[in-house]
Amino acid sequence: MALSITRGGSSEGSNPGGSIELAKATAIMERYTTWNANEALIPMLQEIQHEYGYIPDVLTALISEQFDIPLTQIYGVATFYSDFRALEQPEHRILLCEGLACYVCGSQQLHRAVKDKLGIDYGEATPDNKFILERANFCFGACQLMPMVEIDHTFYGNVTPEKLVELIDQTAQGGGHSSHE
Amino acid sequence: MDRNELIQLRTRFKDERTKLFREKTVIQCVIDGGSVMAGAKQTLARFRQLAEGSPDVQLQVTAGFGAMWMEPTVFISRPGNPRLLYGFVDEARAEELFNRYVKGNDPCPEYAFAWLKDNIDYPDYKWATTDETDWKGIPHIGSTDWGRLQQRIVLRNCGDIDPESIEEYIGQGGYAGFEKALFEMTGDEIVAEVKTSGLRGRGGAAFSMGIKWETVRNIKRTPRYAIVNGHEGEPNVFKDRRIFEGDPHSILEGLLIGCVATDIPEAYIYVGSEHPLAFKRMGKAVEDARKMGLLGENILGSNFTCDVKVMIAAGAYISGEASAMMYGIQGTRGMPRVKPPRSAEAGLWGQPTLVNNVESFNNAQVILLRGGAWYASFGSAKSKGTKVISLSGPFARTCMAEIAFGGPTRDAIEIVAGGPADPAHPIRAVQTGSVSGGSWPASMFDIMFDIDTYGKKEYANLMGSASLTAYTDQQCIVDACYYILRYNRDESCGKCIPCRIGCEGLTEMLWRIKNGDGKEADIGKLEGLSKMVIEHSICGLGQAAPLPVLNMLAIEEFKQELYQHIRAGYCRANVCPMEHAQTKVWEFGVPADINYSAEHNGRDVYELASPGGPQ
Ligand SMILES: Cc1cc2nc3c(=O)[nH]c(=O)nc-3n(C[C@H](O)[C@H](O)[C@H](O)COP(=O)(O)O)c2cc1C
Ligand code: SF4
Ligand code: FES
Repeated sequence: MALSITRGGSSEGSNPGGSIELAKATAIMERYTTWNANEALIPMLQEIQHEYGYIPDVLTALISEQFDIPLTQIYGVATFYSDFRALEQPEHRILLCEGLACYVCGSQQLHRAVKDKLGIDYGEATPDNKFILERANFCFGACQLMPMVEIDHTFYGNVTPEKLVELIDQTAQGGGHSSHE
Repeated sequence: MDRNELIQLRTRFKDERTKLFREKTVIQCVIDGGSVMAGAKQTLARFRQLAEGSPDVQLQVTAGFGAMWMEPTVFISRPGNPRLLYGFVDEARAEELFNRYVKGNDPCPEYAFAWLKDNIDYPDYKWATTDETDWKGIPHIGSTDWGRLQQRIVLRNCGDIDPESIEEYIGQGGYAGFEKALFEMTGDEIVAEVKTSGLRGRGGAAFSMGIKWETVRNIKRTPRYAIVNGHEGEPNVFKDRRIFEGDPHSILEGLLIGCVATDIPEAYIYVGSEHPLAFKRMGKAVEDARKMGLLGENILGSNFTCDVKVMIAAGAYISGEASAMMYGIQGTRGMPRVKPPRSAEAGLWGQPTLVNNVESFNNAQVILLRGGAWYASFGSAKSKGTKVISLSGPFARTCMAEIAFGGPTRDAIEIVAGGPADPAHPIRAVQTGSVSGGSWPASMFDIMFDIDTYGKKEYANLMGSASLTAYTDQQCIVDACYYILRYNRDESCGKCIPCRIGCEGLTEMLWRIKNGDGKEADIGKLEGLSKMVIEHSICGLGQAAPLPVLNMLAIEEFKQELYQHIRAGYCRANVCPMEHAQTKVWEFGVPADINYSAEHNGRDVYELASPGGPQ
């Protein structure tokens, strides 16, 4: 699982000291109190990941205590599955689809374009912690639009290297919109 | 609700639907995970806007039709006219269609792909019937290349009904199979029917579904569970998610039939997190069914009780493997375990568990209603029925289709997918089985589309989940092989050392070859290491990952290509970086097109190319 534990560049995010808002997390946990604790773990972590963008250590400890699940198990799960991130993530995520069709029809050029533009490889973040480049080891499910890219939950199809560079510029300037369901 | 009420509801919903189509113009937009990325939501919004204030126009959502290459797709049916399928409907075309066809009466034949009826109205679910003719210059779907081979048993409602409406599903004969299982058949009869059908699991391992059900039925231990495996993390396979998005109720019905047959009161539907819309629609389907009394206690007045939970996965391809999936539901790391015991004996929480793929369960209703023998009359000798295939890569038509087993593979490539996207680059190979199989070269395209023929040992290939990806002269076999090994290395759970280290070793070796550092001795190493990984891995990932390597070595065309990489530092498709190839070829002047395979009998190119020639 080389890719699942993607660590952001530096830890000086917008949240120094790791203080996070607990109210949302407790609301999430509240909803699962009637579940079997083990079954609830992954859906709960999914919601936390969705809410916070990563799984803060504070919350793993909290879940462990409230649901009586060993901390090792939670940490194991949080590092095993590719949806979960252990550390706070950079502001923008560039996710290249590397399903077979996209890979053989252009995503390698896109990879090179990002490398040239931002100087980062898969799993790396830019020094200013603005962008992270990731590889999707699955198919976005719209192979007719290959190669595909997802930037901050918006999908783009038939992307050329030039278009990707443009999209990155737009994202850096705060453009971009969300069409993700 | 009891049985009679359900029967009455079915007639009522059917009448309502017939009435709707008789009285109003119905515009159905295909909204699923893939079409949304192609802009289908904007199309739907545009139609909504246009139809505002016209009470005789009804907008509907449908999904999973599969004509992906021309998405966004839309169906329009006007009273008295057949249902027409339009492709490439962006906002501008939506407006044009609305003005010309909905308001005027010009069906815009230049934009129409075909006309079609509801899929369930075709005999044997086959679109190709002899008695349908063109309508105003628009062909019937059964006479188009894309449609004429299709037989949509699994996809029977996809593209016809609103997936979020239980009423429509019931109106199309939904839950009739479940009803039959509850009231007219014993568990043994259901199992016998499924066995007669010869249906083999569609999740990859192709194990007989009837035998699996029988095994679980015969183990009486409680508690017991059933699980629908809808993880589908494999790249280039998009069938399960489209079925979830297009026809969630039929999955639920198939699952319930399985639960009746094997006497299971508690079931799970496991949906991959890459498909949020699939999860949403499946969740809604379960809720609606519960409200209607199709889930819960004493369903339809019988003494059968069953409840279903929809669970979300969390990525990681390996957690689609049956035992790993169960660990996932149990909230632990999804790592497969050694079998036996099979999951039928010791599955979720160590209890008897029935696990089948989405597509497998989806066949159950039809098998019960039409009979196992009917189902077994399609397909080849040992692969019965139909298979949903995912076609991707540089095909003219990227799509999802459903065809019967037993035809030549060429049919899928040249008729359904329409050959290459660009005739200047003909298709020279197709990858099958996505990341767990090898490829067929063009010379073998006539090979029968059949699980066992694909799986013959000498080819080192697999059907897997039946995805076909095209390669033209712009794709390199060695590169694709490298991709698959790297993918499997990334996704290996790391439990067995041969898989964890072996895949890494193969990836590195292939990378060296791609980069122009290949050595003659690598061929033997590739083969030896591949066989070792296959023999010593405990789950299907390790057992299938090295297949593309062995397949490349087994098929002459591919082997030549590999030799060109190793001996001449030459990548025909110009994909591999070959950074170190220069020292090998250009400096020493070995021509790239020389036939190395036979003449030099396995000597290293360094030897060949060194000044003074081979010693
Ligand atoms: C690495 C790996 C991944 C798998 N992924 C899936 C999957 O995503 N969906 C699925 O139904 N089966 C998957 N399987 C197959 C399952 O282990 C199992 O055979 C299948 O769900 C059984 O259902 P069936 O008999 O209906 O095919 C996978 C197997 C392996 C080895
Ligand atoms: S074969 Fe590979 S993926 Fe399967 S259990 Fe072993 S290490 Fe894990
Ligand atoms: S491989 Fe990228 S969308 Fe299918």
